[in-house]
Amino acid sequence: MPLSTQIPHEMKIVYIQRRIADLAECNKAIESGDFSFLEKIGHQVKGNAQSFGFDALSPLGIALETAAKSRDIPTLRKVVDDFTHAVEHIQKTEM
Amino acid sequence: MKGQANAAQQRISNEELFKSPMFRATYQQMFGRRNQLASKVKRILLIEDDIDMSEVLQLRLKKMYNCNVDVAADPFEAMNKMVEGYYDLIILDWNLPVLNGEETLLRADQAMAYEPSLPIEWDKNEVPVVVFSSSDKEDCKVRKTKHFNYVGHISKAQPLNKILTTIAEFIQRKTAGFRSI
Repeated sequence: MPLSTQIPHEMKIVYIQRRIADLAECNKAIESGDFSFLEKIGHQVKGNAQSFGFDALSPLGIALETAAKSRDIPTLRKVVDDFTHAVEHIQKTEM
Repeated sequence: MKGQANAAQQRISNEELFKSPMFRATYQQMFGRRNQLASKVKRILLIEDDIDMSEVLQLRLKKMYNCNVDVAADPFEAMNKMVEGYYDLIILDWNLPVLNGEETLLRADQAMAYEPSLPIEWDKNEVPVVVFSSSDKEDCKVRKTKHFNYVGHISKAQPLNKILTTIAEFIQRKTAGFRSI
């Protein structure tokens, strides 16, 4: 891959830190029923995870967006849980 | 000591390499076209509310084309920037706060019609607009307006190098004159 198209490591770290902050907000949003916030986060992760080289997060973004659209709280809880594990795994293996 | 000597020796041989005619010719062949293109695109407006995406694209496009890349995080910030200056290319996210991509362009088009201090370039040219979204291409069509011309769609859900390659293709087509696809 040419140097100009690589993502700097610092940007990847910031990306993961932002997702950790998002996950905390997602848990609050599930409790308060803020489905539009959950849909927005899912949509963004669906769009940007691959660009940052975190392909594993992309399907979780899709699942989050879909569950938020259908207001399916049990699925939302599971997806946010899976998302948390996936981010923790990336932190352990890639950061 | 030995390591330092090797590093110094390596630097000298790199300098010799960079100065060599063969290296310069190869470099020119590889990057000359990009530099030519860069001179045609001075200003890009990236309308994107996803801060991760806008930061990385702004950084990479600036490096690749040595041009100004302004970022607007919402439709109203975008409208203000458009009224203040002309852009050679607009990269437009579809799912923006309050308005979607098409509504943003329609509102901007209306606002510009009544803006007395609008830069003159807006009256002479239509600005090519590339929609950049994780939504399907079919859901992101933009009607042609006085100031904007939809030229294509880039999916967000792909690796950065592919996104940058597609943007490069649009910039290349700008130099040859756009045609809607």
